[in-house]
Amino acid sequence: MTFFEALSQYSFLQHALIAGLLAGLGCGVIGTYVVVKRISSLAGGIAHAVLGGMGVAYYFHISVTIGALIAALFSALLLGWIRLRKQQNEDILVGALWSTGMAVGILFISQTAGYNADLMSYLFGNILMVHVEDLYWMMALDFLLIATIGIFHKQFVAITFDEEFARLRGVSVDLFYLILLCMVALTVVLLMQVVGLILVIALLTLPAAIAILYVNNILQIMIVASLLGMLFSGSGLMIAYQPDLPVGATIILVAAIVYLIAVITKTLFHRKSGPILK
Amino acid sequence: MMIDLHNLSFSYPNSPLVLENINLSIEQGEFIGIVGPNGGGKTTLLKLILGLLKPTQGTVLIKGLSPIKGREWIGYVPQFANFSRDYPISVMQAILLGRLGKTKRFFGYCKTDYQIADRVMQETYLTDLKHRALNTLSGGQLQRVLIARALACEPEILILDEPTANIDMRVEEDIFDLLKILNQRLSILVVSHDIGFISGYVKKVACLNKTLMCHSTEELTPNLIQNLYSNQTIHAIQHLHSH
Repeated sequence: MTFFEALSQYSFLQHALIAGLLAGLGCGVIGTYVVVKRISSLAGGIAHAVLGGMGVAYYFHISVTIGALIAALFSALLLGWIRLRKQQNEDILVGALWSTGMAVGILFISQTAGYNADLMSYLFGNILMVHVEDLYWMMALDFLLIATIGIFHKQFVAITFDEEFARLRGVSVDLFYLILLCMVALTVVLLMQVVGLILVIALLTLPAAIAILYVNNILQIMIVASLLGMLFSGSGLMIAYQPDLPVGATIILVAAIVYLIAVITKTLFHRKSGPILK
Repeated sequence: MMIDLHNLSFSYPNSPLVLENINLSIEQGEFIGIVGPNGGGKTTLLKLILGLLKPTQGTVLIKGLSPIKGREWIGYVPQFANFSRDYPISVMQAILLGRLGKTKRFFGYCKTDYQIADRVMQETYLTDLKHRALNTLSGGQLQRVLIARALACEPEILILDEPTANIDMRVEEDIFDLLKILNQRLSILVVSHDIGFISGYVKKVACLNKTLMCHSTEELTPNLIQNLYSNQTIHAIQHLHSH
């Protein structure tokens, strides 16, 4: 049975495809800011710390998604607060949060009675297990992210481009920075459904990193990156179906290969136009 | 009075004074240059004026208001190093950022913002480059974009931090010629370590090395410079003058 025949027959595959498209949308929009603001390691810290929240939720038999959301927002605010206070080495704290979160998660999961195979699907994602309720969650998150960006686009461009100037113009730089980190946290949870928390960073950054090579305007980068994100999830799912490969890993490899090709093509044919004097 | 610094001193926590007892008044229509060696406190002074730092002692007033309120009237042109030159943004969009604080808070910009952006682009000869990406501009063009962005704030005083640090001599003249025209309607404060060049344009020079001395440009003599700079720097300056 080919992928498309299966797609028309099995609802789990349709759900998987929709989940992939929804994740692609969010990763393109927020990933653009992550790339231009160069906070991908921070996003990585948040993503891994999320396992802590998931583990605790799993142990107490609460919804794992809610545990993930709370942990993601908590770690985003913690990292943001530390950076704004400038009291500690941010780099070290990202690393500490990264490992501590995972350690908490592993401890709680190990103490939970029953079958522990779910651990793998948290770490590497299991798009084929996405339920309809998850899709509603994802849709709501996408809507929230895009609405926030739409309303405050000016402010987000200002704080990612030139923080000091934004502050002088009366923009609440600290507040918008924290909101940005919270949106990164929500996106991490969104993408986790598809590729798992370990692989999130690649899907968050690669589509925007590819778009930025060819487009020079934030809004256009967001659109191109979203389309690429959807394309990667969709094609990853398709490629993985026949040989029964892990979908999350396949999606990431598709993204990485396209990124590689994009970089090589750019260097060979479109040498980035240097300073052009009139 | 545009800017009034009174008995201003500043030190970072547990460190010696960076600025000591600075008194400076900048009147409307003035074009003042602040020069001094690196580490002499130039950037710190600017941060105090902009309200990014709080004085240890003394006061800063901008049009009689505290810096946080008064900086609405300041158009600030930062050094290149303060932001990423690779940021994917067009000349127009970068200039529109100057409208923040004046434009509506939510969603995009209004018609007035675009009109003002068009006007300041004309003033700074950027109209043809409107849709160009920032990372394709030359140093001089980028400097003009930063000036245009500051003008888009509709300021009454323009503050420039080392505006000629990253551009060559010929372009440097263009920038100062532009500032001279702008000075017809704006007060201007330029901070620079490039003492020789700045004195040809500004009406008044203040020399800053922890303390401040003010002179009209005619009074600026090598002797005076000698008092402010370390010996090593003086050799460099005298060497330049002998050519």
